[in-house]
Amino acid sequence: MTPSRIESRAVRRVTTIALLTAMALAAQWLESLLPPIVPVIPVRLGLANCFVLYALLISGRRTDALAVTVLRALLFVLVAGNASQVFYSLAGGLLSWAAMALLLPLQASGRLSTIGLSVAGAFCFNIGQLAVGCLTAGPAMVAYLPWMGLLSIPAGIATGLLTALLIRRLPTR
Amino acid sequence: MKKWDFALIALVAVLSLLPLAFLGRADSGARVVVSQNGQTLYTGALSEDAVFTTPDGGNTIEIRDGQVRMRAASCPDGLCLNGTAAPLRPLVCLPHGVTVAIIGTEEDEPLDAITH
Repeated sequence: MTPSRIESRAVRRVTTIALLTAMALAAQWLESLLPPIVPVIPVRLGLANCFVLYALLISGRRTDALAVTVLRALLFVLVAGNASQVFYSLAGGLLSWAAMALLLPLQASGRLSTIGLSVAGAFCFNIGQLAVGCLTAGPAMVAYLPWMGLLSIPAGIATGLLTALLIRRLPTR
Repeated sequence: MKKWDFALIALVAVLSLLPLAFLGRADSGARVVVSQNGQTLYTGALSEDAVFTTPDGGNTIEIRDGQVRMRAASCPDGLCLNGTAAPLRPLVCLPHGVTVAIIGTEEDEPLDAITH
């Protein structure tokens, strides 16, 4: 009657992904209530990225974090977003996840820290959003790149620090 | 906190500032339109040097090095001979009804500001 080891591991995995997705959605919703750090420029702190990064760091597989990313992008419209936001979040999230997943071995070997990963993720998230912006509004959107790119550095540092704190304080497994 | 972190941040900063190198030529798509009494007489790219004279010989417009000037005008006040045309400030020769305007490629060119 008791579930086998494999089953309970799978359940734990699904539950963790679900929890992280829910927290990412909550974080994104909270952020959406605040005005952007710099007016006009749509760069936010990106707290939701914390949870993707957390998933990348604590689980053995990168696909867990991918699940959180995609789910977060698709589900946020149910929380408080508009439908077009899905494309921005998907593009940004996928690019961000890919960058962080690619750089993960560097972090594991100690050359890069959580902050570095986070900055890379934040930057790529904005690049993805800019790309969709260019597709919708034209190549002139590239003018936003300097601002969004540079702002992603402090944002990435902040979320990276937060994620590192989370990992240190939360019990792992 | 670690070595490569700084390298990564520097890379991000460089990549962010890349567009500034290319966006310097922002008016590469701008066009010059010369019209008289509402009728367009000449239109060409701002980047192409050209000299154009109105059919009645009253005005000569010169486009050179991305700037537009009224080289010669036979109007009594000669006000149009001063200065260069700018995107929101065309050269106007009122007595002859000649206007020289620069039109950019951005859609929001005619708008000075947008409020929501």
